[in-house]
Amino acid sequence: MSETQSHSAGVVPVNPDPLELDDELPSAFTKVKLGPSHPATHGTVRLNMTLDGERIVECIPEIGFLHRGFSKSSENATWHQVLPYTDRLNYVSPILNNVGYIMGVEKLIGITDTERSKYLRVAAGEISRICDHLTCVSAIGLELGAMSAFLYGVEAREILWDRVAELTGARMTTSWTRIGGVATDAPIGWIERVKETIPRVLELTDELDKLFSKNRIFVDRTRNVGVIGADEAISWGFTGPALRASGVDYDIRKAHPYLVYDRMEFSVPLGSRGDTFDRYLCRLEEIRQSAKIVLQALEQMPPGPIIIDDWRYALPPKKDVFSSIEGVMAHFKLIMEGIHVPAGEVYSFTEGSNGELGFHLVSNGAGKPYAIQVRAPGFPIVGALPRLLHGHSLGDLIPIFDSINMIGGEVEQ
Amino acid sequence: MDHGHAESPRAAQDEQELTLGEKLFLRETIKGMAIVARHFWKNLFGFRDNTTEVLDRKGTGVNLVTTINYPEEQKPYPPGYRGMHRLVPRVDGRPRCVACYMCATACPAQCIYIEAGEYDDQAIEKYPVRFEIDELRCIVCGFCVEACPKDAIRMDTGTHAPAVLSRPLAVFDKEALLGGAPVELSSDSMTYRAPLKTVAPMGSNEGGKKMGGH
Amino acid sequence: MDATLTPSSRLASSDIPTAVPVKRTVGNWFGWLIGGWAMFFAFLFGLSATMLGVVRLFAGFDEKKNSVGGTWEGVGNILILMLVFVMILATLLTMADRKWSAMMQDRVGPNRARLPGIDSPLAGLPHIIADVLKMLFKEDFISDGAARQKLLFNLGPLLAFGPAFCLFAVIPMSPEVFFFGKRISLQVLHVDWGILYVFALASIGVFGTALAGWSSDNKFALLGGLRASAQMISYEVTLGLTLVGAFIAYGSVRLDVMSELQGATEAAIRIGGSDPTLFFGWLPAWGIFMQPLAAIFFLTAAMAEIKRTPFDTPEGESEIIGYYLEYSGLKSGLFLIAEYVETVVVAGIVTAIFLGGWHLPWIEPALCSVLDGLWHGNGAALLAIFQVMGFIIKVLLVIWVMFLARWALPRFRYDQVMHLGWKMLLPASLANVIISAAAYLAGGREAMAMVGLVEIVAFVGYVAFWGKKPAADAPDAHGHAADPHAAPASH
Ligand code: SF4
Ligand code: SF4
Repeated sequence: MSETQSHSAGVVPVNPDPLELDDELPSAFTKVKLGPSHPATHGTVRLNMTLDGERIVECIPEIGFLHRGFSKSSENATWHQVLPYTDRLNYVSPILNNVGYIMGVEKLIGITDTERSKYLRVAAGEISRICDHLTCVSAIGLELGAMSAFLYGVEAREILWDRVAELTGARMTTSWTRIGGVATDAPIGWIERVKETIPRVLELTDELDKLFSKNRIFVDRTRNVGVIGADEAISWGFTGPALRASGVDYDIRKAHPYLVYDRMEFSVPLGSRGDTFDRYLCRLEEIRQSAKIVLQALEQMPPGPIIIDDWRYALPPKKDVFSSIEGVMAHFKLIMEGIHVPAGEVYSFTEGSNGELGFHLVSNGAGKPYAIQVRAPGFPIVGALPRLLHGHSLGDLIPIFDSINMIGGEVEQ
Repeated sequence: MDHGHAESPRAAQDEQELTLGEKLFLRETIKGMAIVARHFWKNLFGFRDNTTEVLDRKGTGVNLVTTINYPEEQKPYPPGYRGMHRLVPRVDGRPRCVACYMCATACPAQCIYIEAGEYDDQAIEKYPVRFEIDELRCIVCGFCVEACPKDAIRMDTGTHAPAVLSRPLAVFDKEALLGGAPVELSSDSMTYRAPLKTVAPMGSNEGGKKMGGH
Repeated sequence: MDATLTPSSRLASSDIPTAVPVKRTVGNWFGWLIGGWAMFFAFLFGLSATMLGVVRLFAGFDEKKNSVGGTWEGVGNILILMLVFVMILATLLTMADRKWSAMMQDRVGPNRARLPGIDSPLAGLPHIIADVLKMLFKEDFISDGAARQKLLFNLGPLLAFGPAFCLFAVIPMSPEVFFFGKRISLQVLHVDWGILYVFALASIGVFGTALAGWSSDNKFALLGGLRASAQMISYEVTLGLTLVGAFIAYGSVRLDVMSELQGATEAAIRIGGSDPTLFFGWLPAWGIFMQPLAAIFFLTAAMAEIKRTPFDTPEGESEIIGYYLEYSGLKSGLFLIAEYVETVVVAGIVTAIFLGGWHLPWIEPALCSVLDGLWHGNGAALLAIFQVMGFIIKVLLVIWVMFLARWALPRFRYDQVMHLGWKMLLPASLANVIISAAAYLAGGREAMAMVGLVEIVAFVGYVAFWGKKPAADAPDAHGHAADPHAAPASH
């Protein structure tokens, strides 16, 4: 049976220690290939593992099954047309990607969006972050066997996605931000519905908390599992909840506030051990903090335009398009040629749900991007998977892999 | 305890061990089971008004079930929902589209195919002879709607592209797309000579329904 | 393209007819509620009566028979208990598992399958037929590697299912009773080795999992098989020890004797009045009141023994899928149904030893005299129907608790299962043996009940009160200065 099959037969006799050949019972390592279609590898990833009994000797993650050529595709699209691609980077929190990308383009052009748009972006982005964290936290439960908790998490996410659909017109593939603003304003009554939804989400989050946080079965499986210290986490390039779980106080929303995060009151939960449990708890607590931000943003949101009135970058309002020649001309040029972004290069970074979501944008002044690279927050973390897994047993793989929240879309782009 | 107003990040504590009570498994186990059991009994004894509140996904009353029993129950999409496309007709049932190719250009998925033809009796000159959208390629981004300078394409049908059994069936042609409520802008009368008798019924807003001929 | 298949024509014809759901109101909801429960109990009553009736029918073939046992009664019991009751219950459980879990998880649950002509999901019941048909007609795929040990590969599911299926033989579902002139009881085997039979046969099941894991020629299956064998063998020790307290109390390992002792005797029932076996005059003489901790330990160990979540490491579907990974079709179905059969058996044992078996608490003698008047002095026979019903309800309740644990709790890691078994449950059950023995020597079963009550109070106190800190000053135990458990109401 060929070695490439994940369920391949037999035991591969690899003996690392020649002395052991003299032993009466020579031990051999087993090679097991977990994935790419394995229940635990949500996303599509293959983990090539060498096992000593149940202990993981070596684990080599093999990514790329979901590679869609984001960078290359972007070079053939206008700046605006790249936006739908970013939906599909981290598909659990698409709005955060939309915001991250558009802010990069705005930085390159040197404009900022309107006040109301800033608040809308923050509110919708944090809703997205809640969805992402809910997915991660409850998926840990699912893969540890507690199916109900997962569905409570999904239930909470579901009602949030309903709100996202009301705001953006789509549940997942939002494509909602625009250069200089956002595409659609909050419908009338939306804010009230969000205010109704958030408490229910927090209620379900509390249930997750009660089901897991003190349950010894869960704690035993996550505590001191996949530990990574602060220094090491930094040198591996960890960001986001995974880094904060190791005790490093680095949140871009606090360290380099963008949009209106400096006007929000929230705190950054920190772990101290950097183990799976801390990563879980940090995410859980961030759900609550994000909920606070959403409510504050909706409270403070001023009325006003949602997109800038600069026809070089933003489409003219439809009434001008329908009735004035200037409007039609600007509209036509924007659609047909794309937005002319001045030549230059910029690295823009925002706090994605898994950490620092960076966009490196290069423009040569034409209507299309010259190059776009993404710093996917999950990528360095997946890279550290062999390190995190080292010495753990096969059973530990599941919580560790879940707690780093690998999203195939952003890691494999 | 209010955990919101700490400006400084939260201090990490070193002692995080479970208490003895928690270490004995049973208490937290039973509490966890109690939470799930509460859901069970609420859903067993509760009832769900499956015609209204389920659409809000709010388990009112005592029933918490938020799942929608599709297709018996269907949730209406919100007003701004980007659903199936439609080509907006004029009051006489002809498409508003002037075959300007803006939507096809804006489309990131390149799924709109237009072939222009010419009116000989209209100031507008152009109209689409063929207008096809491959709904399998479409990524439902809504850029085409935004791009159209004539308000001639919309995604307000309140339904999604239906499932099909073979790929060619997902290519929707002009006849399939044309439908829904006609739109008339005040400036239209200067560029478009409408026939005296209008044939399209007003007000019907159902997606994908073929409306009057042309 | 075919003219009839143009998109436009197709779209016109594909307007999905949406059935308008029936509007539910408080009125018809209440009706459903009452009607549903009434139907449920009527069904149980009918089932119990039928079971007793069929066994009586078979016992009738035996002319000279006037005590329990005998060939024909045994045949009837095997038919009605093991082939019908256990198998039907196990099959129903596959659906109950799905439907109950749906309710626990705020879902609707299975509702797509329809019986021909009936346009109603019938609470998902037709799915049972669909599932069975699917299992039967699926391709029985055998991989190359497994084909080399085809005999062992095929033996695996049989050895897993067979013993589990036979276990129910010693579980008594009804008392010995004169039913239409013959003395019968709903129990296949009236043997002195009662529960030992269960332990002996249950340990054969380990061959099934080990063989399946090994002969599948698959690394995941092998790991699963190893885990399963280790776990099953380890927990057998605990399983036996947790019951020693009960053996002391009842002085027997026969499940029917144990059940008999937990309520009014036949004579007392005939006399009527109040139940003379009540502890302190008010507490049913159930095992759980004498051995509350043992009951919890036993249920835990039994769940580990039959490999259900949270102890399902051998088949943790997100890790190694399990020892039956390579099986398909009916063989895979045998493994799955074996698990449900084992669930029924465990629930039966727990009921028989700890929950009073078929006994109804308090009311048996009184009920008997009421029923006597109904049916010409045959109250005991009628009472037996209610007793069987009571047994089934108790079994269902235990099963429900096991399912609840399954859906609520995360799974242990393999070494933690061992840790729990050897280092916690085993010493605890040893201590339980000593305490029970001491209590029994001091004052017989009443003293054990006394100790048991103390244990129950302590347990309730532990679950409900111990470790609760006043909310204000509690630094969170999880390393965050702020309390993540604070109510979200502050927003
Ligand atoms: S929604 Fe987007 S992908 Fe679909 S046709 Fe319109 S522009 Fe193209
Ligand atoms: S943009 Fe509007 S008018 Fe132009 S081709 Fe598209 S639908 Fe027709």
